[in-house]
Amino acid sequence: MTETIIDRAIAWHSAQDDADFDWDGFTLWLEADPAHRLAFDEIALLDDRIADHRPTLAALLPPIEVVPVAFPAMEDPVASPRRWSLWAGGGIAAAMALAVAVPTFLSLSPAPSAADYRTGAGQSRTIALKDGSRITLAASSHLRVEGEGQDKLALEGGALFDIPHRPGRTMTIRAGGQEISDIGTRFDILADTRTMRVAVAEGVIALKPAGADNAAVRLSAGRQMVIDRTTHQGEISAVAPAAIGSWRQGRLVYEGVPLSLVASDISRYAGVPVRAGADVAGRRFSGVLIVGDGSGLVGEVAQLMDLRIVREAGRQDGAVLLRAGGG
Amino acid sequence: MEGGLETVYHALRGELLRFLIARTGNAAEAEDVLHDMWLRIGEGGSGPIANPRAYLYRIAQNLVLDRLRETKRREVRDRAWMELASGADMRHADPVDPHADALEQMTAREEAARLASAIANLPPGARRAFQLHKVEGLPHGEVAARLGISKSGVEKHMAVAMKYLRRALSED
Repeated sequence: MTETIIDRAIAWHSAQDDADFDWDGFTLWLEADPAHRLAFDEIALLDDRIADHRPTLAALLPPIEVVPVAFPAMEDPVASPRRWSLWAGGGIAAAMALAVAVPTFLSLSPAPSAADYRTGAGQSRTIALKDGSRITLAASSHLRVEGEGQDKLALEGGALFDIPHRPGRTMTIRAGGQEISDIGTRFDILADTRTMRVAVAEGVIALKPAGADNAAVRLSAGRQMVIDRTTHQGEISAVAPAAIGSWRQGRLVYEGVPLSLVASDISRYAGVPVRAGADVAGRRFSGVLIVGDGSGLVGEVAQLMDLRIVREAGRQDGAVLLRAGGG
Repeated sequence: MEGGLETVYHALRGELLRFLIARTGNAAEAEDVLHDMWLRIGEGGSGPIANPRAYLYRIAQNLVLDRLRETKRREVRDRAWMELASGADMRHADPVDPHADALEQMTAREEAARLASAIANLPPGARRAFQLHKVEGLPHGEVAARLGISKSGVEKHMAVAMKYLRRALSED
């Protein structure tokens, strides 16, 4: 099927609902070559499939924002619309925050009230706290709950948080070098050693580098923030609230997420370590992946991003590396 | 009003049949669709029609799509069933089976994911136009106004999107 025929078929198809559509011209075009009819069939069926999936697509894709994302002044005191160096005071404060934050988390000798929850590869579990909060922990993740009021949480990996609003109580969650507080909301965190993504489905959260004195950034429903832990850059963009936490239904949804974080996320389901090579680690990935038994995830990402899958040398665990230039 | 539509149908029978033959590539099927059109018109309930000729063509076009969709669905189902049967030696089982439904649901889920991924990876202009028109349901004119581009600009974006999605979905 030549491109020109497809182009014509698309043009006829998109005009067919016009009041003055040229039915005679369309008939002549169809009669000129049987390939025209087949091309038109193909486009009509494609359009039909798209229409069938419309509710699902609306739930998965972030709505189109025509005006550059604008934030009310109180939400974002340091804003340029899409990207900014997150923390006033710059790298030093943030680096200190990290230096403080990591040991604090690791050195806490298990206080009597501390509890650890872990999941293995392919597992997931829900943790209910006394205040009615529910946390669904993704595969290969670790949640620590501390404090008398179970209000100090720390996460490694991924989790969906459902936190009811309780006046007078502030819950804090540490993850990916950041500290999230002021919570009465529903949001999802995904973090590895270099990147963190937090996406808000309901309510508002406040976010700042762990241990720092900076003013927190407020992030509201339908927004995600992707933070690079090494450069301390944060980026806010739109997400579809209904898609947040859909990993619980076996669907991984990403919008503009660095490939390195996608790789570490799919490692949890694929059963083998997956890493993005330095040449592609910073590329942004948008897409929807069906987990299934986990075995198809790496191939799907490689195909969508035109990447090669390379075996990591000298490793017995089947670890793979994603590199530029597929085929 | 139905009476009027019937009159137009009879007057245009010849050109409608010619169109349907061109559209289906099959004279017998074209006759069938023409007959279905007659039944559809008999059902009435369409209210006042500004342009009966365009209306009749549109009915014809929709009936052909219905048949096409049904044929396609059967093909996909049969193929999925064959794959399942060849793997699990269930060749003698009844194809109308809860298994087949589950399979169809899984296929739909995967297809929706693949479509969402393909849309997310469209060139930015095409993605905006496509999503506003096909997902959020805005007409071309409104998409143009929202994006601050011309209507033909929207059409160009839509054409790019359709070509891209066609390629993305046929890679299997």
